[in-house]
Amino acid sequence: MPTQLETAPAKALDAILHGPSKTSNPGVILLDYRNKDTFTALWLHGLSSGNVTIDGQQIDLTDPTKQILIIGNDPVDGVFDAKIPALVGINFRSHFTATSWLAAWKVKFSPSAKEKEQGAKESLARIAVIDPRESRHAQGVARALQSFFGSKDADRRSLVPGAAVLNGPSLGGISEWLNAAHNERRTLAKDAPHLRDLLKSTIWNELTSDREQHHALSNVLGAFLLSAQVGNGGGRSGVPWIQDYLVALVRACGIEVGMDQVRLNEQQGFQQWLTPAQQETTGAVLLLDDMGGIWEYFLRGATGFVGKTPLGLTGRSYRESLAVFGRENFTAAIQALPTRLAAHFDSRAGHLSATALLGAESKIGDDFVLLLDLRLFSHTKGQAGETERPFFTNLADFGLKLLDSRRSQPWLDEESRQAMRLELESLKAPAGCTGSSLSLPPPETVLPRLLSLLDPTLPIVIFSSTHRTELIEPFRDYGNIITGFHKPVLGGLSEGWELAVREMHRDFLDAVDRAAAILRVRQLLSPFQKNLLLN
Amino acid sequence: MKTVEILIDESGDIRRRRPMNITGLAVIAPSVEARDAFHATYVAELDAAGLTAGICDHFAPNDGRQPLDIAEAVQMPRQFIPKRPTDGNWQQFWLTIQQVADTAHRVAGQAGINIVAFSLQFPPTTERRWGTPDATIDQLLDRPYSECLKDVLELLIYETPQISTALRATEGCLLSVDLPTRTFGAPVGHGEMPAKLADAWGHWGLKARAETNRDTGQPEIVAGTLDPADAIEILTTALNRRPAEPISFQVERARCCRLINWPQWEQIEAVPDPNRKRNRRFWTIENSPRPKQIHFLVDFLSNGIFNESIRPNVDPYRIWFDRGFLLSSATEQAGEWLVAVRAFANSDRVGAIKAVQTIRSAPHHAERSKTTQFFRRCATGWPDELKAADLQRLFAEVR
Repeated sequence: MPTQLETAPAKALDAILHGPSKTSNPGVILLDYRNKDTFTALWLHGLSSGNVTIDGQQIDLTDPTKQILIIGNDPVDGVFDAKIPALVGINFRSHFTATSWLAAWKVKFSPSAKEKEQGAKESLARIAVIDPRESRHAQGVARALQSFFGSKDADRRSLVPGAAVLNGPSLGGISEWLNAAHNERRTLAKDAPHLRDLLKSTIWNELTSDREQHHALSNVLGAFLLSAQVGNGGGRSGVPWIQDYLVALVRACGIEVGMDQVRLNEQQGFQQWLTPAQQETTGAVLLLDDMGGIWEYFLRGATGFVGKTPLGLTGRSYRESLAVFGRENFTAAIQALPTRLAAHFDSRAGHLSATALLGAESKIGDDFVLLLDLRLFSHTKGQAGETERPFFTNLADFGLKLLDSRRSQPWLDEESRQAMRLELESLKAPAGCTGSSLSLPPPETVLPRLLSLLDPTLPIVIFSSTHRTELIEPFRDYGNIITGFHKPVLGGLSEGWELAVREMHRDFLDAVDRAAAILRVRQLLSPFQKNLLLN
Repeated sequence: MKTVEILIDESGDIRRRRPMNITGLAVIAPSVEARDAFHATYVAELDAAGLTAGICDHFAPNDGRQPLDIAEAVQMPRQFIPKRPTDGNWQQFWLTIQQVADTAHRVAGQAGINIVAFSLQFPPTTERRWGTPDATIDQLLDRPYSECLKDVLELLIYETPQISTALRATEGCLLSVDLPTRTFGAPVGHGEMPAKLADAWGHWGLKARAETNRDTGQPEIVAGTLDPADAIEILTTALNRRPAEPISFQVERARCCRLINWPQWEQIEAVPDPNRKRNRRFWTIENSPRPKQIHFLVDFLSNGIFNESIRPNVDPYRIWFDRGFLLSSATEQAGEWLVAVRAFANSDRVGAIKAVQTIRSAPHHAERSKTTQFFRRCATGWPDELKAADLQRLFAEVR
């Protein structure tokens, strides 16, 4: 029963197990993990229905009479090739090994602890991943999962019955595993750890932890999942997207996310979050986020700033009403930002324009909502990266210039002005030589505050996943900084995805409404802005 | 010490359901001497050209002599400008007024003096801004007119850059305000006159008299509703509208003057009985200090602007109005704007900005009108004066 076997080991094993007539061992199925269709079928269909159709052959992955050998462990090349700059550097492949799939499959189809207590027994095909490499070569989640699959209880029974990862196996080893089916007991000692939960938490933690590592999958997972909530939820043809695989994995872990949108309004399909009235009052959005390329999808869907239709009398289309900072080269753009802010300051212009921020002509003009991420640099915690230090030095120079100017800075009283001066001076000091024993706010909070001081009626929505008090508290006195919206933190989805989406929807609309209120004041005051401010 | 002289006249009447213009000129001089020289030269040049318009402090000085003596001494010029054209040729009349204005502009330029023109049109309104139980007395008190004068003075002193800058000059500044006296008549029912006259005097101190309206033939109670010293209260109130603004200038004079044109004086002279003639002359100037000659130009300017006979885009009017304002509360919300800028000056910054929002959202609001442009200049820099609490309130309250 061969199914699309491409690699030499798969073909060899097929010849040995099924013989030249392909009739031997009919209960053993070989799946070549390095085959693209097989890979896609396992992830996108096998995890949801328990059945896959490969090369026209339907395979029931829950049939206890079958034994399935998945040959190969690494994903197919090219499946996760990222065209979006923000995705480059994210290791998707380590989350989609055959070992991960096997773990997800076990999590999905094994009875839960409660079901077992009620007498449910596991009834699944036996599945082994044949990994040609030695186990010591495995990395990340695959390594942890392999350890679980290889673990046995005191009675030498497998902790994950009916599943195995066979590393660098010999033919004898494979035969031994296949033959062990007759002796394998699917029940475990009552005091054995419940492996289903252990596997689930291992997968989930790997997906959602390590947020300090900027190019962790966890930092884009929320964007992917939310994009599905505001985009066209209908079926798509063609090559699956990266998020399709992620959704399959997340759903296997029991988080009921999906491409089906949470119904937030009455219309079918497109679940745009802003009403036309809110689109009008918001006017335009500028996203400043090093992951802007990914979040843009969600934002376009949520705001409805999509398409070439003119947006009222603004002179720009809906699409042109959302701009992404540094879309082509974020690193270069963010490095240049302090210089641009200084140039705007020196120009003595009043309102900060999208053109001034972007460093390029923009149809957005002066009236827009700035969505601003806090973490704009990729670095390991506690270590300033190559681009980060000069950025903060230049930003501090600009900030000190602003503080020393005669510009109105309504959010600061004398005490907070002095505190900010100290903060900016410490940013300029070499690492470890701040000369201050004071506990200073995190550097990530400096840019939003300086923007707020430079332009006190520019609505700034903090577009970050952080809930950390020390990152939010410094904005307390800054009336045009809105901190109510958070990017989703998937690690805490204890109440379920739908509720999380509804909460984010509510917070997003609240933030947009508050931003619109600030914009109304901005527009109201605009005619009275001095053309030439005294710096 | 700098000087600012504000001279005002009115045209139209809001209580007769017509718009009313308060129009005037301000004479800004670098010194008292320069100002006095300007007035002397101006009247001399007009006199020489036969362009004087009426009795002013040149012909009947305010020098302490008895009005009777002064009245005897006044010599009418052989040639003068009548109040209205005697031949009905209004076109020529306004060309003559243009000569008067040109003379003022030229003489002012030679003396280093700036002339500023201003005009604010008020809407015909039935709104009572002053209420008494008796409608006749209410009309007679003429309070809406006084309020209009205060609005204009407030705008001049606090919101007109040329004037407010001069008033706050480091070397100090003297402010003078000349308003027109005003007499007003209100119709009275048959048999009611004695009671009305008694009430006007007994309750309000108004020396009213009974007359017959020339147009309707109906009895009217007539009184001077703006007497010479009433300018003090008007100016004081205008200044007090901005308690937060420091006043660094000194008020040199504030008065209401009766503008007696030469034809009126001529009529008095034509009285055959010398005794009666003397009495009438005496009575005419006894009740008012003599104005500056340029106040008559203000009278013409006020009528010309109100009747659209003077085009404010023609020099020197254009130059003068560019320094001041030409606004309409009747059609362009000047009244609402004034309330807003006053609120801001008095530290109600949020109230001011919300008032502006109401103005700008009105259906007939025109962003490019002269009124809007003027007040936009007044409000320039407001954003920089807003405190954190102001912004927070605005963010929460502006809908």
